[in-house]
Amino acid sequence: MSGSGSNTIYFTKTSVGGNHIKRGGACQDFSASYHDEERTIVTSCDGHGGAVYIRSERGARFASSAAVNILRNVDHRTFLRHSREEITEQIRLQLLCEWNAMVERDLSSRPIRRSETRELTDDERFTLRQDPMKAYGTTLSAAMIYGNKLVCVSIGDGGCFLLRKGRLIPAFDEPDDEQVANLTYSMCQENAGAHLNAEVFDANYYDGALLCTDGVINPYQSLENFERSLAVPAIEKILQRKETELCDFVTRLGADIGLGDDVTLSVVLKSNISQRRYRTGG
Amino acid sequence: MTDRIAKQKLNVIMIVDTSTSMRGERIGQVNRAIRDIQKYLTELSGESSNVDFYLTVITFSTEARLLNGDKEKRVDEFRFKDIWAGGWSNLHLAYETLEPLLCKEKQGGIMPDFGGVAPIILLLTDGHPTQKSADQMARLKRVPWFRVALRYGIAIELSDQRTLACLHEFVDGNGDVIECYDSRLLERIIKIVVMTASKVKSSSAPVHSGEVPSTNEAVHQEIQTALSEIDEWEW
Repeated sequence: MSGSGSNTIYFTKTSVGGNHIKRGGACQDFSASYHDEERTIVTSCDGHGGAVYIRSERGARFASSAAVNILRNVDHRTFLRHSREEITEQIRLQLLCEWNAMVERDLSSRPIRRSETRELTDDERFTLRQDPMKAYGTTLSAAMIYGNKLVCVSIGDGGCFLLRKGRLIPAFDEPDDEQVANLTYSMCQENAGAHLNAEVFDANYYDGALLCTDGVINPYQSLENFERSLAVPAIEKILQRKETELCDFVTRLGADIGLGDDVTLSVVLKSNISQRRYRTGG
Repeated sequence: MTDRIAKQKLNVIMIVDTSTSMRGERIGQVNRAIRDIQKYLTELSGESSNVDFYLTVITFSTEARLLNGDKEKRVDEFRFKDIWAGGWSNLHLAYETLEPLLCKEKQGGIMPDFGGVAPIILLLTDGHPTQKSADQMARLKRVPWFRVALRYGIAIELSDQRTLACLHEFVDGNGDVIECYDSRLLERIIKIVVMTASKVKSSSAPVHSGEVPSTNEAVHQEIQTALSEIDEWEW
């Protein structure tokens, strides 16, 4: 999905990973975009792949919907009446409440069936019985450009980056980062609030935001490599309105040339940024 | 946007006791094992493996050192020179050398900034540490990459319960302690542990699970099976 508004350009693409294609599994990533006269929102969510996360693709959808629902209610009055800290705290709490409410509604309308847990061990079944919300475990990243504000939200090991003059800047820095190997913070954990980051940035200073799931960023291993090999060329394609080429690349990254994980790339840009900064010459 | 097939990085870290008691047969067996491991991992990297292997060797005696001064080397670029033994057994210094390695590259360590497979760490020792290492171990256990690492301890001709306790502390449920009662079997045991762990991990590079890597359990079972064959043949 791609498009442009009066002041923004946006792009989102999710594609199933090679490992899921081989196993005939569902794509557990999800992305969405929302656009109206005032704002553009993009999301990027990655439902967990572990055995107990049997509804993680739904969890990812709910996280994406929750982010859009909450961010589209942020308007100029919010920024006039509240401090930046109050706004980010509100967004974090509302997002968690919204996602939890969506999951609870889903659980009450579609209780977990025995057929869904057939492949699980007794321990895994016990874990789910204790905490059914685990079934929906997912990461979430979202970004919104609203006037001169750039709002970013993120939990988990997906990438959430700010763009400025051809460079990528991590929007958040976890001081004691426990997200190593395949461990990640999740919307489904009890203390999700402690790891759900939200921040309001100055959109006059930044060119936009780039979000991705770990299936996109992990093959590149380092920020420098990711910036040089994927992010800047991707922005170049979007600015040149060659989104189809970028879509094809993301599809191949998931299916063939990546690590086999599902992949999501979402970008929101101001439309007036300098293309020169994102020129690779390639 | 290159079209290269992406691989994850898998670090194999060997911590080798080079105190005086390791001289002779024991260190000879270790040297032969490392040479064969390098060859094996180079071949494994070239196959349809999901990972690129990197080797790190930390030796500890009176001092702890990184072999050739290298924090890590891709297996095909790793230049191995025989390790010599002599000195005390300052395990705590080895832990101090290991800790900063298990950080992300941007923080000066050897682990990738994004993604990566939980490393394999092997600790070989034949005697009681000269000094206590509890503080260093406590610090290591706070390092996320150490906690997820697959850890094996090899006790070489040891009946000293204090040293075994030290190795169990190192492994702490995320691997195993293997007692090698005959140093002539050391080479084979090291190779079984590292090669089996590498093979299993390279064929099942994790796809996002949100759990402690389940491959560690698979590795543990494979190694137990392989070691039980040695039991039958040799003992």
